[in-house]
Amino acid sequence: VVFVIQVGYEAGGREQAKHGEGIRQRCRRGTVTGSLQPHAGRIAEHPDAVRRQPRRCHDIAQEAFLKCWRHREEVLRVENLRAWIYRIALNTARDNRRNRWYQRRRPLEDACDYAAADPPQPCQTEQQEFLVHLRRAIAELRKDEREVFLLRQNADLTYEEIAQLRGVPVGTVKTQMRSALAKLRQALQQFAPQPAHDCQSLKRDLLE
Amino acid sequence: MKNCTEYQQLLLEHLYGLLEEDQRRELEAHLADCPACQSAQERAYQEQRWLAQAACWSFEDVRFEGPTSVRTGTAANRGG
Repeated sequence: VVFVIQVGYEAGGREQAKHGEGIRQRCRRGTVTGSLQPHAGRIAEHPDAVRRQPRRCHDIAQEAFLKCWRHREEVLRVENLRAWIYRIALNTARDNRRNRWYQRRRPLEDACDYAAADPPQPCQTEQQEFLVHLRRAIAELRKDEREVFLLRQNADLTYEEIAQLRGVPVGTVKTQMRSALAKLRQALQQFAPQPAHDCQSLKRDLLE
Repeated sequence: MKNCTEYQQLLLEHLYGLLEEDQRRELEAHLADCPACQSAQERAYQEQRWLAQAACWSFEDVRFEGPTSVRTGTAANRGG
């Protein structure tokens, strides 16, 4: 996916910030401002990404990053930059879901996205099929479970940070995560490929 | 005291940092002495890798770039 977005907390310096803390420290020193680039991929992996809707995901990610850019002056005052970025992304995704115009055209758009995102593969290995099942299992999680799972898995946020982001108690977040893992474990056990059937094994069998 | 099946059901939650401190200690003490559960833990690691792979599919190549106008503007500022 090639995706250019109008975002970047960048003013000078060749050095790219490695993470949010680095950005803020450099901002405070006034020497280098850094970039939001290190967070870009993670924004793209926000909870809607897994629903096989790359176009929608990109729209949301682009909008979220534009908001980050518009509020870039706040970065200096933000305590937890990563959580700040994710809050913007989540709010943007929620706003997007509430958009009536989007709701009207979603069925057709989703169908198009599904087709575009998942073209027939000439040679699907068992592992690839397994991942398809697993992605479907993630997509079929309840919305709160999926959001918590992906924020933990992709964003590597702590449960405390996720609770703060979502405005719910930590216990609730952990319960949602446990529920998500219980469902995903079922999918793992149901569809996990057998080691003897992986590609390398098949190649070895053929060569022998 | 739990049996191996019960311990093994906690492994994925353990990897995702969901266990309470006393649960975690009990599980780790059991793992130290139980080859069957150590083997199950390896499977749990593999499951976690699969979940990680499934959760971030197809967006590995996404790149974001700053707007041209901003980059140009800041370059001008540095020059000025």
